[in-house]
Amino acid sequence: MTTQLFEKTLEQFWYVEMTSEKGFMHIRNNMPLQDSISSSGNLYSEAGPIFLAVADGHGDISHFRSSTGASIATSLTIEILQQFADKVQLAGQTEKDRLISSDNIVETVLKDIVSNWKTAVLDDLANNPFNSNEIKTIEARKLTDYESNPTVAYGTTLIGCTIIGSVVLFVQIGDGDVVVMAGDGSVYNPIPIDPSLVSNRTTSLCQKNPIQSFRISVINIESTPIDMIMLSTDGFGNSQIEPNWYKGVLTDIASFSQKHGMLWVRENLPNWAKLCASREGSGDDTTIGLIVSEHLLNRHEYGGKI
Amino acid sequence: MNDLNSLMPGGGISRRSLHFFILADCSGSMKVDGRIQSLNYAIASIAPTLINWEREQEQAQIFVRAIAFADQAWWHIESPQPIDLLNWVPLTHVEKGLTSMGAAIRMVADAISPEKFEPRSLRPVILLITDGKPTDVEEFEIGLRELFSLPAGKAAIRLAVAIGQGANVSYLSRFINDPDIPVLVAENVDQIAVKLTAATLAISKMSSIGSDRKQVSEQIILPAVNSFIQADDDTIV
Repeated sequence: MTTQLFEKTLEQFWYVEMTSEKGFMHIRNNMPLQDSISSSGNLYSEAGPIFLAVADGHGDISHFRSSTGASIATSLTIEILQQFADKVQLAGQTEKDRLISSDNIVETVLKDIVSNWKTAVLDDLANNPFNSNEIKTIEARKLTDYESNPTVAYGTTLIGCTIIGSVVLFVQIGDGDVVVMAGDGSVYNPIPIDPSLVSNRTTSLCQKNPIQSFRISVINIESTPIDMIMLSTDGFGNSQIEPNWYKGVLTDIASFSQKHGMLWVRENLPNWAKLCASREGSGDDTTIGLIVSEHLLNRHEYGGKI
Repeated sequence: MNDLNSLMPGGGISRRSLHFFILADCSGSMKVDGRIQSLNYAIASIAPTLINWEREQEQAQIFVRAIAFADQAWWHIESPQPIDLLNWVPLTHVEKGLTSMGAAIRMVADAISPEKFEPRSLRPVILLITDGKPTDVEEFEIGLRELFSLPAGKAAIRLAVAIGQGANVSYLSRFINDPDIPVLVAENVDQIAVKLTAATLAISKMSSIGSDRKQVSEQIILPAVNSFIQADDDTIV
């Protein structure tokens, strides 16, 4: 059964496009780009598992190494999802069902992300101790206990996604958006939006018990096909005039993809992120990752703007 | 960019909103020494500061709402007014009016509840100005609980200006709920505008991406708190 499953999946190709733009306010305030995005897999019309991770390092001065924290988060998440994919691909159906259960994902993927991130961050700190400017910041932030938890300096959100055969897994901590266009054109958030994350409030990899704040979702694309996935940091969503922008944005991208092809989307994606990151939008770092199914490109049902 | 490249998916983009709520005391004691007139003057005079900040920062669009309170609380400006279009209609005191501060806090909590508050907004700003203490103490307690139970309420920048010696700073400190941010005390009517300007500058700094709230407090609010008599623009800047 497993072989049959993956043979079916091998017939479906995915295109992955990504971009990350420094926010206008970050440029103005001499702050680094604190977003990070990484991908892996056999991209561009090659079959096989696909991995995508997006992170948004916190902008508050307490998190003065958040760009490093975000970069570490995306790269190690890709590695952990690859290890998870290896197990899923080799497993029989029963074992595969166990592997993709929520309990197992928490016990393996999430625990690995949290512990590996902490280890990598502490390694970075050991190799690059806080400098005099950073120590001044620490001394000024008396309410933040850097001694007991130095990872605060590296605080970041994280969204990870992998497509392994017919299984799509999403994991998320903190703000940012995960949006899916299903095969029937409907658009939804596979990970429910956390209503507590408003006005720059976010959960974080650096908090106590981060696993409790992770949200996960598993979709079987054999029973519920997917045409497109979008992962984005809050610089994108915070720019949108429409509160429920998800349907409009993904439908338009689907239309662009069909009418102009993925090359056109690839060329224009940075412009969309730049606009959101500009003074006309949120002014914040903006990162967009797109995964588009070839099935979408082979159809022509979406009316576009052009 | 050519026409094709300029196409943006979705319904368009805009800057984020910054919602600024003014909670103004209109109790009977606000007629003493012309406090209510000074308050009206002060509120009208901080608008240019906010307009300048909005233009300079190019980060957010500021919208103002105001709640007045005396025997009860009521919307003085209910519909969010863009700061550059703000036409401040002077408040008047209520003769022998009480200080329903709790009711006012409950009203603002309702306005920033998840059903009514747009998540993409910057953290809201709530500025409480009073010369007394809540006469609706039970409502005050309920109001604080409601406010701090809300994500936007917890995230809010809360500042308070106490007018004269009759203002009870302990209630206002509980409203601020941040040990780094003290109450701004206007010892006399002449200082109301000065303290409100300091609060406004602090608000604008705290609302900027990458700001350090404690540092802003140390640089702007504490000097304003410590300048008891001859506070002027030099102290603030």
